[in-house]
Amino acid sequence: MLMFSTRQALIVGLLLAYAWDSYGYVRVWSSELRLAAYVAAHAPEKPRARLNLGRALLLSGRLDEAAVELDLAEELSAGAAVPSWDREDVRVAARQNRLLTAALRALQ
Amino acid sequence: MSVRQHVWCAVVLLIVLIVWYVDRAATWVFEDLTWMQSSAGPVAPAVWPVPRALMRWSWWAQVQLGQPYLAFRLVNLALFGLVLAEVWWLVRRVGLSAPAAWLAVAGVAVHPMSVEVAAYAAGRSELLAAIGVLAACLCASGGWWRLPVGIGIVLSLGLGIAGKESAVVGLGLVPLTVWVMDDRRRPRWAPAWMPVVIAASVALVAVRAYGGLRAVVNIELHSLSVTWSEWLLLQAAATQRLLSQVVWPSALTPDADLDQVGVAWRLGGLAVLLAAATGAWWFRRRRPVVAYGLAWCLVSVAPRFVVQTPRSYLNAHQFFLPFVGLVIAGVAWLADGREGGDKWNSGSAW
Repeated sequence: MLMFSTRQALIVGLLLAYAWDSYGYVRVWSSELRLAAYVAAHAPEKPRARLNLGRALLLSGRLDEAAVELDLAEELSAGAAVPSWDREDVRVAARQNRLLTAALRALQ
Repeated sequence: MSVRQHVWCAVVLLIVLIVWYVDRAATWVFEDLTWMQSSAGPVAPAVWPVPRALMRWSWWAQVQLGQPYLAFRLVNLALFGLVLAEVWWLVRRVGLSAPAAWLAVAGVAVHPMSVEVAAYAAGRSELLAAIGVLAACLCASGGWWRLPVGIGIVLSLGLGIAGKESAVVGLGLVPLTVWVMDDRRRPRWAPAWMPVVIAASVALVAVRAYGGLRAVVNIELHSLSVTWSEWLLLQAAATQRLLSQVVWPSALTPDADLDQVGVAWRLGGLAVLLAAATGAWWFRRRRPVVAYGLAWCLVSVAPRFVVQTPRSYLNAHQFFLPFVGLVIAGVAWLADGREGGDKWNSGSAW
């Protein structure tokens, strides 16, 4: 019969917890949309995270949701905490992707 | 441990990795498609002076063979297995027991911090860099002054840098390994500080060849304006976040919102780093492997505070090599005084 000391039991428990967590995290890395949604959920105020989610939604054909995320990305990019190196890039990319979204909507 | 126990450990680990990572439904993410496009040409990439040549070659070969995404992930998994073997070997080289080495390997293998390099196909460059750096440190852990070993160190570092330029941290980790292990058999003409001088000279020549320190600091985008102190505090906050995620990885994400982190937290991050540096110094004699692991982490993360890449703060795949150091420190701490053994010279340079 296996006998564990308290320390060994704690180590095994911690490893199992890490393993469980990483099993779920590997699944996050299995698609662009899933990953972008995960990142946006963990950084809801970050314009780049919203922009990436908007792009992923656009690529998967969910145009209405993409438009919402791209609008939000542009809005957030004007925030005081957003550094200069992110602000302009996100704003321009969000506008370009929104134009593309509008064009695709018109084709539907 | 018996051979049978080693085999059992390896088999269990292999099964876990296969179950975790072999996902037929998985597909490309983030920069994978950029790599695919750059690897689509019929002409093989040049080796020199193309950055990440080894990474480009491996992608190009798989693209030419028409392999699906799963094959890319399997190659990553095989490289990850190689990293784990090197971690096992390094932990044994620093004098810890075989069970401690397996604990370190299990820690690296199942921790979510490793997911970004193993599951993300473009994370392969980080695996190649880690393989090169770990191999160089393994070479440096014994008889570094001998010509074949020296050649082994140079080739390993070259392999790592061909995987990703971040392997230049080997220029810090190899002298650290030599310095702290200070092999008693070394001849008088080969003092422990010699690799430090050699590595520093190589680094200086490389920085000069690249165009000077200013060019290295602004390696990503010359047009972006970020002050030295601003970058230091941002990266300190990023490092502190990752350190907390090593202990409890509840909110690991590839793009954390560090811009929202206040100045107090950024200063706190700096304090944590200083505490880790103090700890490495404090434990250098009483718990040398713990000190080695902490110093490993700090040395391998240090260039990130110099090289400014404002669009990407330190994240999990960039923290992979520092994470290995933390695992070594953690396992040595758990080994509870049994660490090191006769591998550690009481009169060492350390």
